[in-house]
Amino acid sequence: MRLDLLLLFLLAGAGNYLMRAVPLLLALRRTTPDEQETTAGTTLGGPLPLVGPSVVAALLVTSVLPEVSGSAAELARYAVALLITLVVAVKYDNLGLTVIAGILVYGLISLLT
Amino acid sequence: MEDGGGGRRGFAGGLRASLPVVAGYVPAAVAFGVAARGAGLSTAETVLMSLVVYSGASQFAIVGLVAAGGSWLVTAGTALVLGARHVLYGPALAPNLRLRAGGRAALAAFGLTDEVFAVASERLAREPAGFGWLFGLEAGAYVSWAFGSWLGAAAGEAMVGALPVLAPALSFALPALFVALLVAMTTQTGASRSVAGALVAAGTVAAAAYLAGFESWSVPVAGVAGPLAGLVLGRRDDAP
Repeated sequence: MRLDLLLLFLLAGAGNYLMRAVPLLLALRRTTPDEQETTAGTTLGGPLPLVGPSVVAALLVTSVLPEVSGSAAELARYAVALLITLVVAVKYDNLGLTVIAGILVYGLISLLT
Repeated sequence: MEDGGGGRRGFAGGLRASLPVVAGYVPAAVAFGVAARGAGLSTAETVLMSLVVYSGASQFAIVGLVAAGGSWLVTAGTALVLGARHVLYGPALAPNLRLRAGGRAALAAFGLTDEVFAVASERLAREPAGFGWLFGLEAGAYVSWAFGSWLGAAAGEAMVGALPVLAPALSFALPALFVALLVAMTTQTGASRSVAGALVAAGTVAAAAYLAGFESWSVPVAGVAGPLAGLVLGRRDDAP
């Protein structure tokens, strides 16, 4: 084990951890248990409920772009596979099934084209 | 009603909820393991990085910069910039998380990755949960990420060599997971103008930032721009 790599991992790990932990702990300190009971199962106002869908939309875009950049054929494969995955997601509303269906569809398209 | 997602049943429920993340993580981690070995890291160093850094984007960046002979400071700085998006996750989950600021919350924060956040965000908006559920979700994701990294480092090249279609097929796992999560989230919140506006704005901003060369900022910037656009459109809807 190289010492410089170990130090690099520890620094990057500590930085990532702090960026996850500090905002969570501060937010939990601001949110009292009474407020958590009140908001249980209700739709919160403000921008916070939109953060999740927005981040997932951005993650989808940034996970697809590196794969399809510079290749029209790959873009077409991804477009077809994403469309079929979307149909499965809407029809069955099951995360696991959708992921497996997506992998199979894309694998099949890659094999055939 | 179960125990609010705080006890053993909560943990088991969280583990079950982690299965789609596991399906996305194992292939991505195998790819990471193969890349890390290609960059000259040993299997032990590869697994240790996954256990300590535990952030796919940062880990791939570290591997790329180590392979390119990048300086120690630039590599660490790049990994940290890539992690900037994580600051959004805690505040977004906190209102529906039955958890007090303290040791358990500090432990749960370690596992707050993109995919864990996405699954937790979808579930918690429907039904708030406690530490047990979140810890179960995170445990499944963490173990699968470490296992996949080891598998990729130890046997990834042989696996891909034996079944060439495997690598491209598995690369589609994370996009498929994000599509599934988006559908679940929009079904839950309803296809209002504010949600549609947030999704379009976030996707457009992320793509623009990515294509302009600001890859590491694309998700955090979209995570702010999307909700703001949604809020503006929602107010217009509410206006008399």
